[in-house]
Formats: sequence, structure tokens, C-alpha cells
Amino acid sequence: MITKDSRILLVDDLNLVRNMLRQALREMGFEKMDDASDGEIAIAKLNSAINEDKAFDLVFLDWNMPVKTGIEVVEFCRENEFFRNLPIIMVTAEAEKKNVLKALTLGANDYIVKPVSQDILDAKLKHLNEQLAKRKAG
Amino acid sequence: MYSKRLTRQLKKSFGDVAPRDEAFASFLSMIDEAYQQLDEKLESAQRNLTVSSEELTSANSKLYQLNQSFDAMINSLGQGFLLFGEDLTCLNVASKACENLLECDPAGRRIQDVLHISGDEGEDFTNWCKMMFDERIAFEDMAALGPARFAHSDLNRNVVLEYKPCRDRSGKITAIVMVATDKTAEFVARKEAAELAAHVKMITNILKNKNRFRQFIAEMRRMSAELGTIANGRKFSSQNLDEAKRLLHTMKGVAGAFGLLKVKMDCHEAETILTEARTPDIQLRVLRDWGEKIKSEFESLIESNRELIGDLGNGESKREIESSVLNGFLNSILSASTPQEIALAYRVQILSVPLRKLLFEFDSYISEMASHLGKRVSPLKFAGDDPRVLEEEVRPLVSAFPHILSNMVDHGIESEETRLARGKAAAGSIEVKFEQNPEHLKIIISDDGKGIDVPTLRMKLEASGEHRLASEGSDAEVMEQIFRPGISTAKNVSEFSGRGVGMDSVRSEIRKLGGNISVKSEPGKGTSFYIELPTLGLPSSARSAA
Repeated sequence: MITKDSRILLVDDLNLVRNMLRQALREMGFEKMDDASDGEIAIAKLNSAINEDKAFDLVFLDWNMPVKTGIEVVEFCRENEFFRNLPIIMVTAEAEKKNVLKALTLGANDYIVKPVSQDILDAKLKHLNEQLAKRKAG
Repeated sequence: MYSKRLTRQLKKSFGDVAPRDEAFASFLSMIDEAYQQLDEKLESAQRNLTVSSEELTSANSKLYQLNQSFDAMINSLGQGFLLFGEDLTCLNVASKACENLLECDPAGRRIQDVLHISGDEGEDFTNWCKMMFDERIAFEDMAALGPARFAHSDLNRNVVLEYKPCRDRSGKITAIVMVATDKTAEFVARKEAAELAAHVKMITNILKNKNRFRQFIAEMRRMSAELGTIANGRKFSSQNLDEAKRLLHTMKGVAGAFGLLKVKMDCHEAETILTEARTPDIQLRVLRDWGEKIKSEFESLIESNRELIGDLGNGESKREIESSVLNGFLNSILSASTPQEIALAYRVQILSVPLRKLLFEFDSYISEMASHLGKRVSPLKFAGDDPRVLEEEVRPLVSAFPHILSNMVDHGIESEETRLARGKAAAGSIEVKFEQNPEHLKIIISDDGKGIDVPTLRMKLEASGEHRLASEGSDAEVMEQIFRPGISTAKNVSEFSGRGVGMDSVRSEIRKLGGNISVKSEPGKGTSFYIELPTLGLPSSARSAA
């Protein structure tokens, strides 16, 4: 269940995209956010958060990044016992929709098209919570 | 009557046993009554059964009719409807139009085969279908990732695909409806209507201003020739490529301003293809082919409209001069003491025109463009001095002008709705202010739109590798970058602007005059372009005096 208390990791190689997401989420009431500029840093942060007992509850993940792409991060998470169920929302440009399908097939939970708006973020998080509740019940 | 049969039976078995016994008689009549009631019930039950079977028949035929009219309805819509289930096979219900639009009868076939999806894409497609059924992601969001167009064997056909869910009572998706719509006719009709309107506009524009059109022809021929020189040159560098793109962009702008839609679209197309071409070989070939195409398109347009527009094609300037101006000139000649004075009077009084007049010709261009974009713009306003110029001398300025205006209308001026919400007048306004001094002519073009989107510009810079400028550059420094090749804040490339060539070619045209251009912008308030030109052929004292 994602609440205002949830820890969110924002992964994108563009500082500006991270800032946009951060600002939108902050205005929605989220406080606990961290970011990463590529897939490798993201994985390192996910791991160290677990060790410090501050595991992330949600990841916003860019597709096209240096070092390790978003797809590789999704693959890593789904094969790792700690992150198998970690909710991941892909952040994509309109033209990259084809790649999104790959990420979704590999187990990403949802996707969002840039530029992001609070309305869409809100709808996505609501849907995600419904799915998480269903998974818990089932 | 049952009791009589019963009495007979009793007599047969027991002989005449107290037939007149009253108690027995009343017992028999009770049996009679019970039987009668049973009979009635049976009869009424049978009657009910008959009625409901009649009703059933009539309901059946109603259902049949309904089905028939439903079929007729979806078949007459001309849209292709088909249903496919979780096994990804098409159900036995599909509209007739599928045969034409999807080129098969989908019933019983795999949806993947109907859409000609194979190879690697097949797996993606199957995954996509599965995810639509399990609804882990909202149906509409998932549907948006699917094939949006059918690969019709007729490449001119434009068949658009949409998906809708079919749910059972519990809300679970049991099948997906795919709707195929032919948008070809719509597309063609819109294109034809636009062409006709453009033709009418072109003729009106030409007739309204024959003189300007003559210069336009000369200008198009000059640029077309420059393009030819680049395309056929021995050496081809990235500067040549940039120059070619600038030329095409300027040609697109001026052709658009005169309503030469076909030429404009050709230039746009050539620009697109040139941008996508990767190797110099291909770029050169594109330039040669399209340069020729644009040239012949343009010349044949001039030729086919000769009887309407007269013999304008020779590019020579003709002017109508009021008699008062001629009288004034005659007086100047009579009072002149040197031939230089006469020459000057000729240039100032006969040859020069108000710059305002030259620039106002683009007013209809911006109002038309604004309405195309669903916006409103007031007529072009002028302020400050009223400089006179020699038309031939300021051609680069005049051809750069529509680009500045279209940038303002496209990116600066907001939609009517947004403007009202921000407390601005419904129609945007663009003002051109002139400031003259002995050395310079300053032209300040301002709009009251939303200003330059600096954050987006920073993002573009970041994306193009300009990390320092993107993160540390001042707003003013970042804004100056709109004059760089390849930078645009537009989200989409439209026929008007957005490829990031526009302001670059504007600067290049202004520099041809030895001038410069800069920009200032305030978020939410508007954008101003400052053009500074050196003194041209006319001495400044004579410019506004005439």
C-alpha cells in the first residue's frame, strides 16, 4: 500500500525529469524521496536501503539511461527475493511506448508518459494500490 | 362425474352397498369437487404454458429482428468491428466492413494473423493481449500500447484501430472489441479542402499585392538557385547542410506567407527527409531531388496562373506612384543643385517605401495561422518611428519576419481559454516598434504570450550534451540558445515551426544585413525580439523625412 509515508526512489539520468517528478510528488504530500541518475546507482541505493532498514516502497524508473538501463533494473528486481514485489512505474516518452511493453512483460507494474501531471500520478497510484490490495487478498 | 364412476366400481366389487347412505354420498361429492378443482388447475396451467410459449416465439423473433438491425447498423457504419476472446481468436461476430478494412473475414482466425503480426512482434503482441485481459494496468492505458493502425496492402489507406473491453456481470473482461475505422476519406477531403482554400488565398494574396509577389518570385528563385549550388557543389560539409536547411525553412516560410501550400508542404517534407538522412550521399541526393521538385512545382504554379496574375514571373518591380509624390519629386529636381541630390531624392521619394507597409503584409498570415491553431491574435500593431526603406535592401529582414511571427503565434500566444484564465485579453497581441537614430534602426517585436519556457530549454540543452549551460547558465544565456541550430522548445514538429531551424535562419538573414538579433522574455508576460540594423542605403536623416 502506497501512502504519504512511503519511500520513493526516482531514477532518471536527467536531473530535470527527476526534479519535475519530485516536485509533483511533493505537492501531492510525499516527503520521503531519493533519486538515482542511472540503473547501477539505483540498484546500489535499493540494496543499501534494505540494509539500513529503510526499504523503498515504490520506484519511478526511466527506460533509457547510461550504465544500466531501466529494463535491466526491472530484470534485477524481479529476480531478487527482496525486490520481487517492489512496485515499479516506468517513466517514458511518447515515442518509446514500444519499450514499455517489454518492461511491463518483465514485471514492471505500470507506466507513465512524460511530461507527468499530478492527475495522472494520482490515478496511477490509486490503481497501483487497488492492485496491491488484490494481490494481498489473492 | 368422477363419483358416478366410483359408485359403479364400488357396486361391481361389493354389490349394492348402502347406495343411499348420505354420508357416503357427501363423501363422493367431495371427491368430485376435488377432481374438478384439479381439472381447473391443470387447464389453467396448460393455458399458461401455451401463452408463455407464444410469448417466447414473439420474443425470439424480436431478438432476431434486433440482431438483424444490429447487424445492419454495424454493417452500415462502415467500421470494422470484431471481437476476440482470451484465447486470442476472433469470435463469429464481425461486421462486413472487416473484409474491406482488414482484408479478411476475421471469424475464427487468430487476431494476430488478422493484423499480420509475426516474428518478434508476435510475442510482444501476445503479451500485450494477455495484459489487457488481466487488467493489471488500467485497460485504456494498456490499449494505448497496442497497434494503432492496420498495415493495409493499399498504402494510401489509413485504417485506425481502437480497442474497447467487453465485461461480464462481475466486471471481468471476457472479450475485446476491436474497431477499425477508415480515416482515408477524411484525410483526403481535408487535404483537398485545404488545397482549394489555399489556392483561393494565394490568388487573393497575389492580386492584393502584385509588387510584393514579384519580389517573392525573385527571392524564391534566388534561394532555389542557392540550394542548387549546394546540391551540385563539389564539397559538401555540415555547414552546407545547415545552410540548405535554413534555405528550405525560409522558403517554406515565404511560400506559406503567400499561401503556396504545395510549395510550402514540399519544403517541409524536404526538411523532414533531410533531417532524417544520415550520410552525406543521401543528404546530397535528397537536396538534388527535392530542390528540383520544389523548383518545378513553383515554376509550374507561376506558369499555370499566368492569366490570373499577369506577367509577374519576370521578377521586375513595377510601382504605382501617386501624382502628389511625382510632383514632389519634380520640385526636388528643380531645386537640386547637384546630380547627387537628384539621385538621393529619387531614392527617398520614389524608391523607398514605409517599412510598416512591408511588414503589415504578414498580418493575414498570422491571423490565419492563429485560427489554424485554435488561437486568436489581434491585428499587428506598430509603434514608434515610421522608417522608410528600399525594398531590395531589406529583403532578408522581410523574409525573416514571418518566422518570428509564427514562433510567437505557435509558442508564445496561449489559447483563448488559457489567456482568459490568466487574466489576459482573449486575443493575443503582437507589436512592432521602430526606433531610429543616425547609426541604427532598432526593431522591437513583442508578444504578450507565455514567454520562453526556460526549464524545457534547459532540458533540451542537457539532452544535447550542454551540461554546463543547462545547469549553470543564466536564464538570459539559456534563452539566447534559441538562435542555435537544432534547438526548439516546441513539443511537436508542425508545418509552421518546431524543428529548431527557425530562429537560427532568422539570425542568419539579419546578419546578412550586418545586423543582429537578441531576445528577452518574462515568464507569463511575453517575449521580445530586438533587431538592430546598421544604416542602410538611405541616409537616416532622409528616412522618415520623405
